[in-house]
Amino acid sequence: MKRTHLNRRTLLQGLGTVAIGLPMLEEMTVTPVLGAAKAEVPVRAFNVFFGLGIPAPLQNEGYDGVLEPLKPLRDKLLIMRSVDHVRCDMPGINAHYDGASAAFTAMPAEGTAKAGGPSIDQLVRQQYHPEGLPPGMISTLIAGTFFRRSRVVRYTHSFKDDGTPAAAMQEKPRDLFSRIFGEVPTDSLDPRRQRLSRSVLDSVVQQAQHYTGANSPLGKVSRSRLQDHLDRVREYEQRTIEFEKKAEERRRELPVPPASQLPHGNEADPSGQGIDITLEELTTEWRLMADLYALAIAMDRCRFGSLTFLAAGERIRLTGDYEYNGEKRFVFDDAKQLKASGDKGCSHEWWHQFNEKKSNEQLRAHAHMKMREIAYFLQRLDEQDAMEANGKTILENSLFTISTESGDGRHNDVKRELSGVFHAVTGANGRFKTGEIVDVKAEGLDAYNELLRGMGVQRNLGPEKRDTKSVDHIRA
Amino acid sequence: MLRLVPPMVRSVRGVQFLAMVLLTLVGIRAQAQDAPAKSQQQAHQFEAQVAPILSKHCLECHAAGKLEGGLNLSRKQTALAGGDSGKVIHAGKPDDSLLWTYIESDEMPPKRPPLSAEEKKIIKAWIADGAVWTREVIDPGSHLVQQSSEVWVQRLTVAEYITTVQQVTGVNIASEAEQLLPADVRADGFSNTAYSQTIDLSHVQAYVELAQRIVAKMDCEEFAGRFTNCRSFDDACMSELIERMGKRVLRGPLAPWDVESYQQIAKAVQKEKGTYAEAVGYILEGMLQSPRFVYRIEQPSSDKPSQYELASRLSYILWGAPPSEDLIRLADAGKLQGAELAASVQRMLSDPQAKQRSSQFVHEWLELERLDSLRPNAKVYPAWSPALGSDMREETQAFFEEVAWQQKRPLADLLNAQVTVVSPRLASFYGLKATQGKPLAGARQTAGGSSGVVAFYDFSEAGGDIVHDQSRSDSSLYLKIQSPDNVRWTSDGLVVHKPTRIATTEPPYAMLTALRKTNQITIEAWITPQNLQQEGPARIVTFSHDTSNRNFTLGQEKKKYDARLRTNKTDRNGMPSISTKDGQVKTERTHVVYTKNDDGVGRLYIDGKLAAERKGLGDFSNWESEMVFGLANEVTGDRPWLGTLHSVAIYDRALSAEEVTVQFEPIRKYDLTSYPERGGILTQGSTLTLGGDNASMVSRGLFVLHELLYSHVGAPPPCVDTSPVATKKGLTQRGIAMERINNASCGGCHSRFEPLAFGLEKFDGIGAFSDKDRFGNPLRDDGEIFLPGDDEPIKYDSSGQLMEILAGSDRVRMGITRKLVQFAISRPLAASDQAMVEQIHQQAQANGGTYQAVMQAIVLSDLVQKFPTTETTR
Repeated sequence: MKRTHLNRRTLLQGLGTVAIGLPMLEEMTVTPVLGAAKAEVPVRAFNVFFGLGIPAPLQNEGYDGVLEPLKPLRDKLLIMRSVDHVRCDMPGINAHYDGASAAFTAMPAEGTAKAGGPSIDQLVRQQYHPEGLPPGMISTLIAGTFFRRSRVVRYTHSFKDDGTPAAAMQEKPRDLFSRIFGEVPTDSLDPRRQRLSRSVLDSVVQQAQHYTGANSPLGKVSRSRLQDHLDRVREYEQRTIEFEKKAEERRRELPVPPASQLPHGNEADPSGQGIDITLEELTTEWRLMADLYALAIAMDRCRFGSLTFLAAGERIRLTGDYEYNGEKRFVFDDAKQLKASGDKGCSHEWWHQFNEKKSNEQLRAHAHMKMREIAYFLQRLDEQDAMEANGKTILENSLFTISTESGDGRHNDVKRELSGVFHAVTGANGRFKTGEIVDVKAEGLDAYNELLRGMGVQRNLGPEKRDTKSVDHIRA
Repeated sequence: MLRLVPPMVRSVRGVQFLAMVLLTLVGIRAQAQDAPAKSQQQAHQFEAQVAPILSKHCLECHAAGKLEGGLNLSRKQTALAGGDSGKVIHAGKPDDSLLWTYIESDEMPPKRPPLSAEEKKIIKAWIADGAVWTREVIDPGSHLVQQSSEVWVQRLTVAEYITTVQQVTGVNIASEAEQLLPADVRADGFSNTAYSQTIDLSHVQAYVELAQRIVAKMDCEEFAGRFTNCRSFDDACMSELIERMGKRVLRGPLAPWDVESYQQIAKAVQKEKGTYAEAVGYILEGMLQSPRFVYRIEQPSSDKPSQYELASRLSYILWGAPPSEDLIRLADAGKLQGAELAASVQRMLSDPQAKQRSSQFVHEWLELERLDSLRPNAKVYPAWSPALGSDMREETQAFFEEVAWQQKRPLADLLNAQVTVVSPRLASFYGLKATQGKPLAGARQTAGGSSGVVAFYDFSEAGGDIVHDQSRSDSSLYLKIQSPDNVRWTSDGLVVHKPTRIATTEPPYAMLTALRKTNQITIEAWITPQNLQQEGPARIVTFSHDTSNRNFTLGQEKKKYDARLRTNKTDRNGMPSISTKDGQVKTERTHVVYTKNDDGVGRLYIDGKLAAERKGLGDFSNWESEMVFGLANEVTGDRPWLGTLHSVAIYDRALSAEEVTVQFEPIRKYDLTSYPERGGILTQGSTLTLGGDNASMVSRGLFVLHELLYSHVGAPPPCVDTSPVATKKGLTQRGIAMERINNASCGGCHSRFEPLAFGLEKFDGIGAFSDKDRFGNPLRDDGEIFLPGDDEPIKYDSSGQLMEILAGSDRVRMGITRKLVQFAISRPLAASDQAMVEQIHQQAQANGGTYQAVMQAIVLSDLVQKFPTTETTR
C-alpha cells in the first residue's frame, strides 16, 4: 500500500509560519485514517467554478491564449468546447444567473437559492455512498473565494436532488479549516460533563430519528432536511469523540489559520456595486482556501463538493501587477481603465464589452489570471506527494469538472451567451480522455450525463423523459 | 313514418335494447357528473400548463403595451379573436391554428429559444382538446417564474430563535446567537424562505453551545417550579416536569416517547449523582437542541393543523415569536376557531410584537441591510457616510411604523404618504427645515450613531450581570457588574442605584490600539444623574488604573461635568482636566459629549451645546496599556456614580460640533406637503440608492416592476450593445433611457420599466434632490407609465403624481399583499396559490387594506388554516 502523502509543507505555505506552527504540520502528516489509506483509489468528484467565463472565440486559441496557465496540466485535462446550456435560459432572469445555475446541473434554477436539480458530484456521491460516507468524513465540502452573493447559485456549486445546496459555503480560511478539522469544543474537558452532554445529544438524535424514520409525519423534502440535521448531529458527535481521544496538550496546540482579510457578508457585495481589491489580497486568501481544500481531499476528509474562485457576475475593481512565470503581463486597474466608478468600474464590464474583432486585452488578462489560480489549485493535487496507490496523482484519479457561467458575456444573445461554455475535466482514473481539446457540440446535459455514465452512475441529470445524446467521444 | 329508433337498434332484441337504453342513460348521467370534473381538469391544465407557457414565450410581444401583429394573448377575448392575420386559435384544430403552426415551426418566438418538445406537446393537445381558456386575463407576474409549491419544514431564523429563547426561558441570547449561528441566507427576497434554510455542522455546534449558555444563565430550579412543585428524580415527578415544561418549550404536548427520551437524561444525571436543578438544566439543553425546538414541525393527521400547530403558525406569522401561554391555553381548550380565533388574531395584532414583526418584514422586503454596506464613490458623493445610510434605513422603518401603525392607513399609502420621520442628519441632507419637524413622541436618542465607534453600550440586555459591547464581535469590552443587586435593568437603560463596579475583566487592548492609532477620541453618553451631590469626580466613564492614573475619565463633580484625558502634555491623571460651569448637571436625561481632535483641542458639549474647551492637549503616546475600562465607578470601586446609563459610546475620532448637534437633536416627524418632491418609500434614500452611483433608471425601474408590480421582463434580445452609457453635457439619464426605449430592439421591454423611474430622475445616486445633474443638464420628473395589465398608458407631470398613480393602483396593492403572503408562509408564491392570494387580497381591501387587515386575511385564509391538499407538496 502506498500511503497518501501530500507535500504539506508546500500546501501549508499559505497557512504559513505565521499561524501554523510545527504541531499543525504534525497534525497534518498523520496517515489518513479513512479511505485513502486503503489500497484502492477512492471515487471522488468535485466541481470547480470560476466566474464570468471565457468567451468561446478565446477558447479556440487553445493553450496559446488565456488557457496558457493550464498548459502544464494539459496531459491531465480534457478541454471540452462547444458545450451549450441554452436550455437553462429563464426569461427575465439575468444570464449570469442562468449560466451559473446550469454549471454542473445543466438545469435552470428554481429559485434564487435553489438549483434546478442535483449536481454531478452529488449523483456520484449517491451512487458510491448511498448510505452516507464513513463516520467522520465530510459528506460534501463547499468552499470558495467570492464576493457577489445576491443569489446562492452564483457561488455555490454542489446541489442535492431537491436543488438546495448540498452543504453550507465555507468562505473564510478559518471556517474552512474548522469545517475540515473540527472546532475544538470549549467546555468538554470535564469527563462528567462529557458523559452528560452525550446523553443530551442522544435525546437529540432520538428526536431527529423519529422525524426521518419510516413513520415520520413529514413530507419528502422536509424529511430530507431533518435527515441532514441528523447527519450533522452525528458528525458533531463523531468529532466530539475524536476530540476527546486527543491529549489535552495536543488540543491546546491546535492552531488555526489567520483571520480573513477580505470582506464577507453584505460588506463583500455592497448593493451589487462591487468592491476595490488588490490582486495580492485576492490571491493570498484564495490560495489559502485552495491549499486547505486540497489538503482536505488529500487527507480524505472529503470526496465530493465544489470550490469557487469568484462568483458568477462577480464585481470587483481589481488593481495590481499581474505576473505569470516571473514575467509581468499586465497591470490591473479596472476602474481607471473603464473610467467609471461603482458597478460600472468593475472587471465584469470587460465581459460585456467583449468584441471578437478587438484585442480584449483586459478581459484576456483577467481570464488568464483566473486560469492561473485554477491551475494553482489543481497542481496542489498533482504533485509527487499526491501520488496514490495506483501510481497516479489525486488529480488524475478524481473527477474534477471545471466550468463557468457563460461562453460570451455580452448579455445580448442568450443563445450565444449560454453556448460554448468552457468545460474541462480530469481523467477520473482512466475513465475519460485527457490531453486533448475536443469540440463536444452537445448540450451540457448530454455531456454531464456522459460523465455520469463514465463514472458508473445509474441516474441521469435532467428530465426523466428525454432522448439522450451520446457524447462518448469524451470517454477513454 | 318517423323512425325513432335507428335501424341497427331495430334488429336488436327488446331486452337488449332496453338494457342499452338504460346503460346509455346511466352513461349520460355519469357524463353529466363528470362534466364539472372535466371542466376542473381543463381549468387546471390551462392555468398550470398553458398559461405559464404563453407567459414565458409569447406575452413579451403579444400583450397590452406591445401588440405585435395586433395580437393580444394575455386576454381571453382578444386571444380568441385573433390579430391582423385573423384568428390564431381554432379550437379542436391545431393544424389550422397559426398559434400552433408558428410554434411548431419555431418561427415563434423570434430571436428567443424555441419551445421545448414537451411545451409544444402541451399547446397542441390543449388546442386539440378545445382550447378551453379558463381565465379572463393571464398575468405574467403570476406565471413567468415557475416556483415549486413544495412545503418545507421551517427552521427558526436567527431572529426567531433569539425571540423564542427570550420568551420561553427569559434569557437574552441575542449577542451570542448572532455571533455563533450562521446568518440566514436570503432567498427569493426573504431570509425566512424555508427551502433555503439548510443545516450545517456549524448550526448544530451553535445549538449545542447556545443551549449550554442559555441554561447557564437560568435558575433552573426556579424555572422548573413554574411547571411543578414536585422536585425529585422520582419517575412520576420527572414525567410531570418534562410533560409540562416540554409543552411550553416545544410549543405543544409531548408524546410518550418524547417524555421517555428526556427521562433518560434525568437518569444519566442521577447516575452521576447530580442535583435536581442539574437534571432540569440538562433536560432543557436537550429540548433547546431538539428538532422540535429548532424547526416548526407539524404532523398532519387531517386537512387542518392541530390547535397547537395553528397557535405556532399564528404566533410566528404575526409576531415572529412562539405562542404565548394564553395562546397555548386557547389551543388546550380547542378555541382557536370561529369567532374566538378571529378575536385572538385581533388581540395578537394589537400586541407590540406584531409591530416588531412588521418591521422585520419591511427590512427584508426592501433589503434595508444593503444600507449598512453601501459605499458610493466618495468623489462623486462626498456627503455620504455610513451614518447617513443608517439614518436612511431608520427613516423607512419609522415611516412604515407611522403609516401602518400610528395612522393605520392602507398599505398602498406607503407610496405617497406626505410624511416622514428622519434624524437631523438626514433632514439636513434632504433639505428639510428642523423647525418644520415635530420631535417624534417616544423616540429615544442613543449614543453611537456616527462612524468610528470602538465601544458601544445600549443596555438592552434587560437582565444579567454582563453589559455587552455592541460594536465588536469579540468580548474584550464586555463589562462585568460586580454587584448585580445594586443595579436595575429597565427598558430605558441601566439604573445604578447603589455603588458597584461595572468594568472589563481585562484591559481592552483592541480599543486602546484603535485610539492610539488616531490620537483622537469622543466619549458620548446619554445619562440621568441621580443627584447633584456626587463628587470625586464620580466616574461616569473611565479607562483607568486607580484614582490617580488614567487614560481618560468622564465624571460628575456635583453640578459640573469634568473630563480628564491623559496626553503627552498632561500628567498621568489627565490633569489639567476640562470642566463645565456649575449648573450644567441636571437630574434629567442629558447628552454629554467629550471630544479631543488632532489639533489638541478638547471640548465638552452638554445637550448639543459647547460647554467647555481646552487647547494644547497632546497625543496618546504615554497611555498605559494595562488599564481597565469601566462605567459608574472608578475601577478600584471608590468613586461611584449613581444614576441611569441610557447609552454610552467611545469613538476613535473627534465628532465635529455639527455632528454632536445631530447626535443630540431628536428624530422628527415632518409633514411633507410643502416638499412635494418627497413622500413615500420611492422618494426615500433607502430605495433611491438602489440605482447605484449612476442613479440607474434600469435598476430603479426594475425595482418598481419586480417589488411593487410583480412583473418581469425578458433578457435583452440579440445583437444589442448593453454597455452602459455615461451622462454628459447634453445627455441625462433620461436621455439615455429614451434612446433605449426608442430603439426597436430594446424598447419593447425598456418602455415597460424605465418610465417607472422617470419621475425619480431628479434624485441622484444617494437620493439628494436637484433640478440639474452634475453637468448642469436640466432634469425632468414627468412621464408616462404602463402598468402591467392595463391597456393604456397613464401620463404624469411630476414625481408626486407618479406616486399618486402607483398608490392608486390595485396592481401595487396586490403586489404588497403578495409580498406579505410570501413572508408569512415562508415560501415564494406558486401559480397554484394565485386564487387564494386573490381571495386574501379582496378580503383585506374590503377591510381597509391596512397592514392589520392584510395580516388578518392571511392568517384566516386556507393558506394558514389548512394543510396543502396533496401529499406530494409537503
